[in-house]
Amino acid sequence: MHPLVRGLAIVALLAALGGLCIHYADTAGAHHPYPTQDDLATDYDAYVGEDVRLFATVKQVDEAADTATVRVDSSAGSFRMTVDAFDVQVNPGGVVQVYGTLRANHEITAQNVAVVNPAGASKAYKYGVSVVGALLVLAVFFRSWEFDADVLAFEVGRDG
Amino acid sequence: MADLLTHVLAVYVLLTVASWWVDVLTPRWIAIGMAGSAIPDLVKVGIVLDDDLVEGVLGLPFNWAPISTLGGVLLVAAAITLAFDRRYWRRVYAFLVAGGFVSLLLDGMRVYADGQSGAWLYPFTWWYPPTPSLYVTSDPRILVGAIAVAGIVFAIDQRLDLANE
Repeated sequence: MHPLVRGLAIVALLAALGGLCIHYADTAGAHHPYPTQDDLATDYDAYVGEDVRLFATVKQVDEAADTATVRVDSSAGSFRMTVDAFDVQVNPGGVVQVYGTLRANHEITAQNVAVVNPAGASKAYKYGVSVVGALLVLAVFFRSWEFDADVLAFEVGRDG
Repeated sequence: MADLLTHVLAVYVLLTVASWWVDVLTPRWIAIGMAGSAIPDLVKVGIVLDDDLVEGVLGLPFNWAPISTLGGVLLVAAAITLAFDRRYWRRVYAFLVAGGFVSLLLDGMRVYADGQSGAWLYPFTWWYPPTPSLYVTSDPRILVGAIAVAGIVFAIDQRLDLANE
């Protein structure tokens, strides 16, 4: 196949991926089992009493009262919420998932809280480790494969 | 988002152990499987090019999330496959998709507060598969475990290679 045709096919596939990204953004909310964070940011009171699953950044924990103040981000801006029945160990800056029932005045009664990042530094840890993973993939890949500039395609390398 | 290194090591372990019995699983194909396991992590492009930024440029709603779904893996794997010489296409695609699928499966087994993972089978279904809630990505024990198992498999593999020479 002519390299130009292959190039065009790659562009077409990436365009199809872009189409998925647009379709997903447009329709995911309607298929979400709970109100989305955008829904809550724009019309909180309409969802009071419903179950939600939120990703939130911990601002402050009151261990004595089993509550936490968290920040919930959305594309329509972020807002603060108070989580009741907050029973996990997280430092401010950490990220949690909260599943529970929405109450008036931006309160949520948690049925379950799962820790995503126990502290703000966890994110840096994940990214750092991921960079090592990416380098490992590249190193392993180029041990077996090399780019043949004559045909503009990957070929089995000398050691592959 | 799980960490990429754990994904890559998991696929390395699965394919290397399988290679002890399956002759076609040579290092070059294990390398392709490992590359495939990195595909869902390309969703991190969103850290550099924020959804909102792309939305502003396009004037359309936009979310990178599909890269970390089955549909995204099938499309990205096809695009990568085309960068190879034609006689490898079928096998490159199969290993890329297999690696990507293992990553998605591992991500789908993470802890979710409500016991349901994300819609990672999109666009084939909007179903949120139940998760066994096995682990949290930020838990270093997961990575330490993955490195330890990968190290043992690597050592055994080297010995088998020597024995075969």
